[in-house]
Amino acid sequence: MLRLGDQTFNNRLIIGTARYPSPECLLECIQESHSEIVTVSLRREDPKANGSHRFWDYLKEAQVKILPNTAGCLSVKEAVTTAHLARDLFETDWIKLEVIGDNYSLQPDPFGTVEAAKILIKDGFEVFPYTIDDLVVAEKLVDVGCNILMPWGSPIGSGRGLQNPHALKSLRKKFPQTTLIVDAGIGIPSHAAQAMELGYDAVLLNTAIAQSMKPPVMAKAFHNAVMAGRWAYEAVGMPVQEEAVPSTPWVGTPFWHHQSGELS
Amino acid sequence: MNIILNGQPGTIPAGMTVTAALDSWGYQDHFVAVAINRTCVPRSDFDQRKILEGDDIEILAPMAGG
Repeated sequence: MLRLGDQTFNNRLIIGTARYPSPECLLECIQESHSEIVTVSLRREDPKANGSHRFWDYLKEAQVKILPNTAGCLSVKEAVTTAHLARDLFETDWIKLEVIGDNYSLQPDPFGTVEAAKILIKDGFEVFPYTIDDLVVAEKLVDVGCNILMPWGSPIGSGRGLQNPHALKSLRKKFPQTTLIVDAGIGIPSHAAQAMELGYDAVLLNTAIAQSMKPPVMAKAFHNAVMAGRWAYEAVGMPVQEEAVPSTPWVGTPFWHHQSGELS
Repeated sequence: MNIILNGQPGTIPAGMTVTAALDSWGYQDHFVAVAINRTCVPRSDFDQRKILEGDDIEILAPMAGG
């Protein structure tokens, strides 16, 4: 069971809604991924175009929890205003906070993210900050009241997986009570499983499903990978050994000669 | 009256509320959020809030996002 704020969820995979071949495909992927939470953005609306209308009508059918984002915001002010607009429109206090510091790598601005998080938490938001995998930044976010942290696995849309598993592991160890979600950079299901095996509470991804050749099949694969990773974490893996350790017992080995201690 | 709408200069009659302006621009029945001068205007205030000379208006709608 995944607890976020005052709500609980059965599934630990959160998916984005962008870059799917069609709205129908998006709906199918939501179903196959078993995701109960999806991210959406806010963009300028042209009254003559019907795109957002169609998108929102489709998404409402899915009856999933909406996690609005502040994607594309380059300043604290933009992110805070976008969060307030999202709260007013979607009637949710949840906000995936993105304050982008570098347009090329889409790396979050850690200083702006902390500042915006502090303001939004005072304004009553449940902030899901997209952040780098840095312990000190994470600590600052927790200090201003974040209950959830979303460190990147690797740059957004890169599909490079977990670039620094050691850093992610350190975050898990340092913040045992904080909900940790790997957001961004997941490319294939084994990346998601790896994040879950590290003890992460959930993963958030988009492009890995949407841009695969068969998005609904990939959605199903990610659903299973996230479950496998979580079960593996709960089961606690075996200790790693430096040397080989036979799994088949020596006792009763055929053709073993007691005196020489050698097989003949 | 001069305003800026989604980054583009434009004009509207003086004294219009947000609701009236949205209707005149073709947004009736659209599910949108509105910011004026980079501050959120709650949907519950659309009928009361009047557009003023020089206002910088953003009209935003749900869109696919990651």
